Amino acid sequence: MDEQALVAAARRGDVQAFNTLILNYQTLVYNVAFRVLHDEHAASDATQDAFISAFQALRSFRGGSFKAWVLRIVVNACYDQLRMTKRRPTSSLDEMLVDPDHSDILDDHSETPEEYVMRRDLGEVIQAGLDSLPSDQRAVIVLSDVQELSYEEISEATGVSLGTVKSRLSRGRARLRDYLLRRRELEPMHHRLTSG
Amino acid sequence: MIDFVKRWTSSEHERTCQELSAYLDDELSTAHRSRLERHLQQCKDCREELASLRQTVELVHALPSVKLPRSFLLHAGEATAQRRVQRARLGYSFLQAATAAATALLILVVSGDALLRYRPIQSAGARRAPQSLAAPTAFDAEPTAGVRSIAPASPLEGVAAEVETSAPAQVQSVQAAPEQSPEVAKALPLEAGSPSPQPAAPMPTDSASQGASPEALVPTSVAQTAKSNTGGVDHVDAGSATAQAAGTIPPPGAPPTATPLPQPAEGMLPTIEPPTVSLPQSPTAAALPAQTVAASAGAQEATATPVRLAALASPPANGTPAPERGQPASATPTWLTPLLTLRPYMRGLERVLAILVAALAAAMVWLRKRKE
Repeated sequence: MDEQALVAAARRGDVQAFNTLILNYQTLVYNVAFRVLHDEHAASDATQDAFISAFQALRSFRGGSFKAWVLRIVVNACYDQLRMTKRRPTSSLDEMLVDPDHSDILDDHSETPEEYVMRRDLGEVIQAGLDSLPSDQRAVIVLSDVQELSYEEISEATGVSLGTVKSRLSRGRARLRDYLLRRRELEPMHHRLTSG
Repeated sequence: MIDFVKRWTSSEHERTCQELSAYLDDELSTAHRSRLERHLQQCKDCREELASLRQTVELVHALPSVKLPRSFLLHAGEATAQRRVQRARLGYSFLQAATAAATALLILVVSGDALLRYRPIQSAGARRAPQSLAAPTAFDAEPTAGVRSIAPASPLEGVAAEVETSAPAQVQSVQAAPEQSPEVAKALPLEAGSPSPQPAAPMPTDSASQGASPEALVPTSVAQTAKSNTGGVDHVDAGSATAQAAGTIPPPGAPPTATPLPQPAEGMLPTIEPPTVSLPQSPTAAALPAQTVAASAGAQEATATPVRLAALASPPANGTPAPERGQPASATPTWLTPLLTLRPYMRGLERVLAILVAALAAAMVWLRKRKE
């Protein structure tokens, strides 16, 4: 059954059809929420709320990309979470990366422990750089550079024009680049940024 | 010319830097792309900028995907349950808003009621005090039991004592000559009122002015003495005294034409105009027998309210007429006047709002317990 048929069935109240759509998008939706919020519980709440809201608001779905529509719901849920929590201090990236139950990093046996540690450190720095960005620029960078969505999909998912997407992406990347360049004097990964 | 070239080159560089991000994503049109590539061949800064941005994008893209902490699939009952929860949340929010609004309204009504209650009393007191001090009206001048019964109820005991001490001569004269002619009796108030700069109070109504007897102005004392004269009532209680003060005065002899005042509602302004009483010119009504003083002594404790009402009804010392019935005190601002009309309903409104707030709070507690 293709996506449009699943959406049509879900609009008629078929929860199983909607669950099939959830299966297709829950990893994407949760990852976007996690990278924007940088908090596992908040990301879980935002993801669950987004799917419930999507199921309840399916009647207002006018067609087009279901993925972008769901992403727009989750991005708005993330903005709501950010407004509510005012960004609590986070330390969950460590837990996420080290927890063997939730990470497949150690499953890659071609990677040495040293490489793993370096990558984990790099991941922390990059996530910290993302956290330093304004939420609108962060969401655009996550959608573009982490999830590799097109400009049109990002525009639809964030509800802004293509020009705004370009502008936010340009400023966000430049800001993130400056952040990483500043951190290279403190971190041993500077050679990657300069020679990478 | 050199400056212009530098500025143009600088602006071109800035514009190029903004386009580098889109260039990395291959989102530039062919024309823009070729122009940018030409610029990059000439500008080393832009090339370095492009390289650093590309590295940044690659680093972000290298972030690992996060594993799901749990499944987000919806259960058949969960979807509807979530709808119920959402509806309950909505209901709770509505209850919160309604409770807040009702509480605010209750506070507003209670404070408004208190304000209105305070203002008329204050203004009435301000009006009453000068009358007691400087305007011994026909009532004050009447040297009968009415004067004695005023004394304990008057807020100004010194003034009352003064009246009492100055009155005995007239009282004695009345007692000594119970069969005095009406002319003598009519002259008495004038004598008693002589210390006051103001003569006897003006008649409130035409019908009252037709009654030549000064007792027409003094409903309480007239009522008491009239009852005593008839001998039908030995003791005047508070209720009957109030009723008499309201104008239902059975005169001795011919029945008077009395216009009874409506009983003031609870919380109404205590501004009551003098009762419109038409008393016949009866010598028995004017010449008060001395026995009435003793006979009406039992009504002393019952005269507080009528006396105050009579004092309020009498005109103020400066000669300005008393405000009409139902009209608030002259000091009351005009914006308060429409609120005064609502005052009789405020008590009921307060009760209804209090019950509403309590019910809403109980509903909120019940909903919260149910949610838990």
